[in-house]
Amino acid sequence: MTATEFGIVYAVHIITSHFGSVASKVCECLLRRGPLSSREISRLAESDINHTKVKDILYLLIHHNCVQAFSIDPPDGSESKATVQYIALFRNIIHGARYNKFSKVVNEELGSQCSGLLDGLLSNGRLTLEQLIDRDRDSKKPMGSEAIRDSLQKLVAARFIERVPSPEPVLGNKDEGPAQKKRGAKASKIFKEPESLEERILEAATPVDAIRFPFIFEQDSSSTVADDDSNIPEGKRKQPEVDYSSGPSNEVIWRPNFEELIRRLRHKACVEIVKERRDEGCANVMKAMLEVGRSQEKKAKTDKSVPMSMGSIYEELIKTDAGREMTQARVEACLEQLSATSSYLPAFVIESDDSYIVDFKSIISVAQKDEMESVVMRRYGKEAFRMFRYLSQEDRFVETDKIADAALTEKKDTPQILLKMWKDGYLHMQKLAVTGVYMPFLLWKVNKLIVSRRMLDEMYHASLNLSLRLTHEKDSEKELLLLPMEKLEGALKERRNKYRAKSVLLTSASFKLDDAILLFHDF
Amino acid sequence: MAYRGGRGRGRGGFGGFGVEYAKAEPFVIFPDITLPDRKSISDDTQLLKNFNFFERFWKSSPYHLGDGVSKKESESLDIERFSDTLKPKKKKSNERGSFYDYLVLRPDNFPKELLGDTRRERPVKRARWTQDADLQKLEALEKLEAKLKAEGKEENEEGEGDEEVEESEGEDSENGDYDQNKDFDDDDDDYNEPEDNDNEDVYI
Repeated sequence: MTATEFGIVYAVHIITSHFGSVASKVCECLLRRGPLSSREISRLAESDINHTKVKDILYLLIHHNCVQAFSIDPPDGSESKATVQYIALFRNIIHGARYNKFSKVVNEELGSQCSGLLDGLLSNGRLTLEQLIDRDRDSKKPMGSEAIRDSLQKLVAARFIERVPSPEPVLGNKDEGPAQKKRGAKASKIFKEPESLEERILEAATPVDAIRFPFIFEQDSSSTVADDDSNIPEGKRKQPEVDYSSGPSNEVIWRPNFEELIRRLRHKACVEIVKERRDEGCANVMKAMLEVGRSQEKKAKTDKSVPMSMGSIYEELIKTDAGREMTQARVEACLEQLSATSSYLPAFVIESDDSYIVDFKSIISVAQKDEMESVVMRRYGKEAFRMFRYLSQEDRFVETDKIADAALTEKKDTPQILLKMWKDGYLHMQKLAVTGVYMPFLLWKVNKLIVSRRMLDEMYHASLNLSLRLTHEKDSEKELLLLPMEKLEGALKERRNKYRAKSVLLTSASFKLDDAILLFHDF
Repeated sequence: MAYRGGRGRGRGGFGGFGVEYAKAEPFVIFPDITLPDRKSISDDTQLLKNFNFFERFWKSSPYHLGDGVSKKESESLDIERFSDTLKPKKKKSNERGSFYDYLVLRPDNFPKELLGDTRRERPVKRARWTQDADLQKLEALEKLEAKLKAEGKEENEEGEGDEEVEESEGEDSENGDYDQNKDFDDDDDDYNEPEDNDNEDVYI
């Protein structure tokens, strides 16, 4: 999905608070105009950023995984050299506001030493083992290099961290592919084109798994993996010759693997969704299924899991305390429940030939639908909500009167309500002129993709507002905050406590809102 | 006399139409709205704590390139306040350190275009991973030395020859956490209970 307007504003806000407004000007340039060369950035960004400064900023943003460089092969026979361009990674920039969630996930999974190490990588962007050891040595409670190595190994094994990607993948010069050839669906063209370039770049930059998640051995941290050309798919073969064998000057450079971190959050969300809509038993079964299939998921946003047998699910399930209390019969019953479709809930699991497949798309769409309907209900009222729900289920253009019938509303009131939703972008409208009839018919439809985008934009806007409000509160009490809390009494203490309550509320609200953003954008 | 077209009519309105397009309303920075139920938002202490860690980091990290206004300029515009005496001593801006100290300038990490014209042959110097001012470190070390001398103990902990040890005396300084960060804003206590003592390092 291309970034929405407030998505960009919010992303710029995050960069500003982390790196300053000079850096965010460059970032904004890239987000609004797409990939640019460094010369173009110097020209287009504000005049007070000279070319050297632009390079400093690009270094910084690449180091923090917010920007990726790439180049495109010039057309065959052309004399020109490939120009290096830079693309802003919107998704990664937004991740910058949720490092605390990543840290928590790793803490729960691998413990505080590993999450401490991950924190170092999240805050610093990219580090080598040597740098991590140095950093630890300077800390208040050093873990020691053995513990660092050990934790690093665990993080790599769990794929929470990865080797940095190729700094400058070269893309072959070819058409965008099927997206361009589609003359018809204009909507899909808008959404597909820019995404496919970013996807192509990221795919070309990502090394094969063996290189991406190398083993770290005890003695000489050697991650010698032969760069076997025959195994590398076409896009990657074009990478410049990089020596992946390591020595002291060629140590692996590590960075957080956002894909895996998001995958964990996605799995957790799925378990919660199942728990809310079914029961705890089904949620435990789902958790086990997700664990079984996790290592084989190709990308974070995968639609379906790999097929798995009842046996493997049960084996995984009994590893947990809660799971051990479930009998095989109970597990079977849960699987049946999960695979059943009802009028109000789709199937979360697909059963086929004694194997079970998790249907991620179905689970996520249920939560998305609830969120959408809740917004419509609150904003436009119960009648509008009924209409919206009816149209979502129909998933086609429906004429006004029919909607009125289905939603049990007055025929004369219906167009007004529908128009209100249409004006805000929650509905699509089409006019159908019929010969002999004076007024054209109005047809209405819910386009889920468009509504998602609209909601996402509003959520980014709201996140921005929460952040600005928090800053405003902080600034208002700037002087009070400088006083040590223990020494406050009376009215000052009360004011301080009030500030604390506000701060906690605003921050917690932003975490919750971010969960919704993840639901619509990353899951 | 020359007719100054529109002048008479133009006063008080837009171009002589005399119609106001926008109603003048007082500016309210945060207008009142109906807020959701407070209880519907749960507080996750761990998330808050982690969030706080990162917020503190970003405020004073070497990666913050500033807003294009030199520190000196912005400082001189501030009026002197009593609370300035309570603030920890401000470090000189260049002590924040260049972020290049933390970058691995290798061709497998950055594009050749950026590395190519690097005039910055950075001397191989050890990056500073903590944010104490050297001054405060020395002060703290001196205090510790005096304290231990007074107790008649043999002091063999002075960094063990390692000049880079900067943080270990954090707990002994007068204001605890408050000296650890030059722009420390003290919102960290919001997420920690007062007796919570495992203050995370304010380190990079």
